[in-house]
Amino acid sequence: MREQSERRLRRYGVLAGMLAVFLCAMAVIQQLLIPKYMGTVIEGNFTEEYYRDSTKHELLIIGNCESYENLSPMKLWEEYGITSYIRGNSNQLIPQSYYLLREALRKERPKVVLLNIQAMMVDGQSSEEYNRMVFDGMKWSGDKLEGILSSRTKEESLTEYLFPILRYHSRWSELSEEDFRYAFQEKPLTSYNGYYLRADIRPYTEFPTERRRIDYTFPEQNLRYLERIWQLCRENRIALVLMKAPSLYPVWVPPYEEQIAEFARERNIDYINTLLYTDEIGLDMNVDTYDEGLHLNVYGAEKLSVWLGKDLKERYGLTDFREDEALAQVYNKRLEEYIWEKAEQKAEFEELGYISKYTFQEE
Amino acid sequence: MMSYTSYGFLLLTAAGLAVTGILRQSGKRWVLLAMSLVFMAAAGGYETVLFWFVSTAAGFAAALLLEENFSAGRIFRVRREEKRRTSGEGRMPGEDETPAGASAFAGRRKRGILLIVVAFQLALLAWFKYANLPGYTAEAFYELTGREYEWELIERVSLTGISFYTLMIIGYEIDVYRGETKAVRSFPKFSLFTGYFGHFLQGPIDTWEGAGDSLASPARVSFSDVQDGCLRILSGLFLKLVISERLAVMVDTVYGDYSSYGGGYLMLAAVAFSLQLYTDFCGCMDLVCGVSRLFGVRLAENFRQPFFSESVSEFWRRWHITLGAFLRKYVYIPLGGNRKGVLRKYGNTLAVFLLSGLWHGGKWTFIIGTGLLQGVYMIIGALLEPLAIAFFRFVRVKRTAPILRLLRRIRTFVLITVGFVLFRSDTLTMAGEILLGMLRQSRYPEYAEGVWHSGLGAADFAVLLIALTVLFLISLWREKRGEEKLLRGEAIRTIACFGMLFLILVFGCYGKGYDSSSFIYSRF
Repeated sequence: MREQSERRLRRYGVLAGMLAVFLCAMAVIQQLLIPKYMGTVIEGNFTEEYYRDSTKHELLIIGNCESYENLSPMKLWEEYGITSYIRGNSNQLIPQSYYLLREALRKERPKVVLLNIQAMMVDGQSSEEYNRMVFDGMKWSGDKLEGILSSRTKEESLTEYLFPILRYHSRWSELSEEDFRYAFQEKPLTSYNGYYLRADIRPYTEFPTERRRIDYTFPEQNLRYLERIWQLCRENRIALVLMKAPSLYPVWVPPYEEQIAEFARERNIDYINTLLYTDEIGLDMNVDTYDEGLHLNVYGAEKLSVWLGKDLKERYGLTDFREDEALAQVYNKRLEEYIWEKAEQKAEFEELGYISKYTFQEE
Repeated sequence: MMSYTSYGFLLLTAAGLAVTGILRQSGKRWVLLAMSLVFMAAAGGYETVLFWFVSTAAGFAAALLLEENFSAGRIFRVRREEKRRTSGEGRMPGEDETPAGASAFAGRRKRGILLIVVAFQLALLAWFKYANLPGYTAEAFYELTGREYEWELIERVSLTGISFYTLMIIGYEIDVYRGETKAVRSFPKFSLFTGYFGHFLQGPIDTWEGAGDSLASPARVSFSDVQDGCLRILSGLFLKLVISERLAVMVDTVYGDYSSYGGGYLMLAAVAFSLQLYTDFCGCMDLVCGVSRLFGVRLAENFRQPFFSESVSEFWRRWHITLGAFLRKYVYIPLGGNRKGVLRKYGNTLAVFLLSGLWHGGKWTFIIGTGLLQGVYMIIGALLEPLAIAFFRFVRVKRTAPILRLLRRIRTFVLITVGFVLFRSDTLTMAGEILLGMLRQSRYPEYAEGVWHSGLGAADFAVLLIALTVLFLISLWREKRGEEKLLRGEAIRTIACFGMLFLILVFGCYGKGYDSSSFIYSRF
């Protein structure tokens, strides 16, 4: 009897011990295999970096690349003392913006939410990589779960989000030095309060003609989630401002403009189409874009930030926090780094004609 | 679509185990039946469930008729009869007296019932699987005469598992007809036998005697069973995800562009496909046998180190064992086997392999590749056997010498691989071009990447080589030690389980970019 219970104890002891070893090994290898986004594509870090910012923001900017490449929170701080953060990712869908906003509102209550609405025209996610960049860095919560379920592609499985090793296991043969370096060490910040700094210049050229659509009505899901964003802001007494950034492509056609304008009018919210004010902003697409007019570079983003920040501050009474010692310490430190990197990139671009860390190079 | 390597199946198994864990032993089969229905619907859709049900119901009713030999064919009398027997009620005077004329009549009736039910099952199979056979035959004929003809495909619903459960039902009917098996009186039990998720998709083609009882009353599961089951599952996943999927990259690269490759590259792809087919099919069998073990169910084994075979006939006794056993028992032996002269024996061999090839699908690449060609090999082997014996006697060399055994194994592998080239090819012309291409100078397309231009990167190739070496060593052990366990200690087996799981999770080819959910034999 005693022997039997000893055997059982040994059996379950081995089982528990092995399970612990296995789980530890999986945790280590998973950490190693998850992409670190420290190479040419740094956007995969943006969601996660938000949690590392301990300050509260009066302005929260959400949307896709048109939000994180066209507005500079550092400039908003420098010019007006506005505290802001961009929760934006590549090809971030409207439902994803909703869930990122909902999650952010558990942490803070901004005065204004500025939503870039270019993604309203996007019907579903085109590639898994974009979803991954939105969600991989997001902390687990109901928001993340619902966000994944609302926007995953057909090929994506929730299990692979729960256990990222199931998705990234095949990276074992392509591990690089950065995977080892950042597996268990905090990565340096890659964005400036969610802003993607680019100081290179590639002037605007002709875009390919877009295929005409039969129907320009926004996808039903996007309209539903835009409504939910508005409701969420209303419930939290936050002013929602809709914005179309001055990116020239994909073309923002009149039917899109009419639908958004009508939405804003019906709900009595502000909608700013910056494409209508490019001269007033002072944008010159020969020098203010780094990818031929798709997105603004830092020079363009700063111009837009100066123009828009003034308006937002006056209209919504955003506070000038430059006299707040604690905040000023945090923001000014980051501003210094921002100015330094801008200068570095500028110098490199003037010398090489490109910025090496954003350029894919043959081995 | 659910498959054995999908997360859905993992969830289904986990849920099944959780429920059986809290249920009494007798409730297990109901859980298995429910799981099987869910799996069937998720893997094949409602059409699969519907036609499986029709086949099963027909098979169930026919077996009762065969056993009881009803004059009016009312199956409910069976139960009444049973009740009467158990309650001890007497028979009516002269009830069990059977006149000779009535007996002959009953025999004819039984044969008639058997023919009808077998024809019905085969007709369903033919309707869904062989609709394009005449067209493919015409295409093959035109190809051989150098002309072009393209058959307009007849689209039929693809019924998952039909090739497997049809044979199981037919085998069962014949066994009942012969009196070798008693007809099952419970429809749920019979449904579980034909639709059990473990053998529904890819076999094994179980018999009622072999798996029926085990399914009807699953055994209690010990800790050792759990370990065995887990090791078996992991072994299956290892074969499928670590080896087969990597070989698939090589095979698909070369076969997808076969005219640009020549010589050694085509040979390499042919060898890779033989190994891929084995690891894919055997991996699936390991997986389902392992899962079944967790539920206390024992399924028939389908493989026994086939690449260690020294002759083609031995190979087919070690490869897809349950199909071979079915054809031997229900086709070869009833046709006379080897008891009616040499010519008849050869004829029977060809008939069996024709059916084997046909079973794989209504395409001539199957019918010849895994069918007639194999029969021809065996006939030639049998014809040359006396010569071989005389030769070795003359040169005074023992046929069991290790080097000769190795050479025979290589010869068998080469012969089988030639058959598998046909099996993998879309058309006979393609197979011919590949086989002829092997004799030409080695070449590869300029754009081809990977080790030996096979599309497989160096790191993956290294993993493949290591995994194949491990597979070879384990097979060698099994070949020498039979069923003896490779890992004996309880602790070491637990450690092996976790170690294997870790390796599979990291080095397995699954998820994005791979098609690991589809098994080659699930198409049949």
